[in-house]
Amino acid sequence: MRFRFFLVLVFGLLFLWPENTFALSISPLRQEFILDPGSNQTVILQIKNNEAKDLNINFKILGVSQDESGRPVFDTKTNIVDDWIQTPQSILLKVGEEKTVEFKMTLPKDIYPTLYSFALVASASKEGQEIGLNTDLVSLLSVQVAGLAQEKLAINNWSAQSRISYNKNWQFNLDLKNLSNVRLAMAGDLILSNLKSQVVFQENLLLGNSLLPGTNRILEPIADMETLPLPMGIYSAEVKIVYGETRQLVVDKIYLVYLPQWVVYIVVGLLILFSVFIGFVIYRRKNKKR
Amino acid sequence: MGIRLVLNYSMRTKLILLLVVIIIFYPLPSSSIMSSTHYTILNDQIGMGAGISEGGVYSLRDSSGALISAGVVDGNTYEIRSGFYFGDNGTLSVTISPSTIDLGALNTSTVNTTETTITVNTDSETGYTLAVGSVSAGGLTDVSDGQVTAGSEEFGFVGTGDDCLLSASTSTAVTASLPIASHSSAINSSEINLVFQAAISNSTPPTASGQKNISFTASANFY
Repeated sequence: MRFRFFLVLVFGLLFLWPENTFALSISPLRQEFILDPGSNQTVILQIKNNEAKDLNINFKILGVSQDESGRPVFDTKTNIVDDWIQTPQSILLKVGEEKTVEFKMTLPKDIYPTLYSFALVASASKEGQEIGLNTDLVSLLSVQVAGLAQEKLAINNWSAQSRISYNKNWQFNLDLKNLSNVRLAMAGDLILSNLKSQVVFQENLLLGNSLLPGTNRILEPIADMETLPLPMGIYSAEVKIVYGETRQLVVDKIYLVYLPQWVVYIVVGLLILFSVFIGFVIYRRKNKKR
Repeated sequence: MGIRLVLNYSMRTKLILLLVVIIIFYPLPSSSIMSSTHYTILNDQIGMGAGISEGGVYSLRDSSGALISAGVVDGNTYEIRSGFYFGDNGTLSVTISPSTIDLGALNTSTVNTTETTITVNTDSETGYTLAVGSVSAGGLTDVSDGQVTAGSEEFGFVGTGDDCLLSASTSTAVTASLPIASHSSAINSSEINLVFQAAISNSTPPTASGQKNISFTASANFY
């Protein structure tokens, strides 16, 4: 009896559990095609109205690039997409309704084989609300045009934030640029060695997500060596990055000096003592002349 | 010398029955979402072909090959061949509450504020980025010194929340493409609280208003 009551309760809750009320949802979030120049493709998008009101959904297409942290940035000025992709007509989504819309894409025949990224945008506008806050939901569309892929990653900048480090937290600047016509996945290492080429510190670099063609990734890696015994001296800091399908390696190396703070204090202390001593000697000589 | 397995009639029958059951109920690889009346298969993983196959009453989004359909790799270059599709069938939902901002009647002696909360929900493994999409032209001058001050014509906002990229104390100008929040993995109900701030000076035209039309753009992050 109790078990039966429990079952009824569970099933009852499953049916009566309120759905999270979000204004608008979109799927899929990302789509990626590899297509031949001149080919046609239909791209599908599903939109659902989870709000308690009917919504008018408008569609538009924007260009997408990546910022220096790897986040998507939408560009309203991209106009090539108007020629390539047909935007669907606006639709009315009733409460709880889900609809599928199609974006028809035709690639030019003479298109350069690279990765093109677009944002398929669904905007909700409520009737009678002209001033306020609106939501644009984006489905990312990547189109890699078939052809010869050339992979090249450049290290634009690899430097230490300070060439002389007085503590064991060494901060660096790393600027990478994707010079290829394809997206690059990357993995990297930071290797610190002494002048005898002995590795004193090695760590995987967190390079973030894959890098779109023509974009930069700017990072500030930190080598935290607080727990390591690190003698004073000159060290090399090497960055090694493996990238792409061809697993190429790009390397850069800089040198920096580690001067512990206590050494600085001793040197400053000795300089003060030396200055006092010199002052004393000069004073004595002057007194003797008198 | 060998071992001879002798099965009697009953054992043989049971074994055959077991094999038949295994064959019938063996789980075939399937990652599709299917639905009818208009039949849809979303992103099934099949061996050949890609893109969308369309008929009168069905559509098919399929994929084949690896993430990059690489051909012959030759040093730094390789051939990319067509025929690949990948779709991330996750969802992204956004709600804004309240969805209107009205800073009320502005005067030169106070900084007027109004608050809204944006809630983002996504099962995308790469997380999401929320940015300002567009801002209506006109209205008050954007804040430029990090502080909306009474008596100066300025409009800006501050933000809080675990994923918020805005400062909670320094006022930022509301400009198109400005990233507001980001998260690098799936998240349930990420809340971003925005406080809009406005002030006017003596030279502000009486027609100037604290009301703005702002759109926010939410998307999954790239792989």
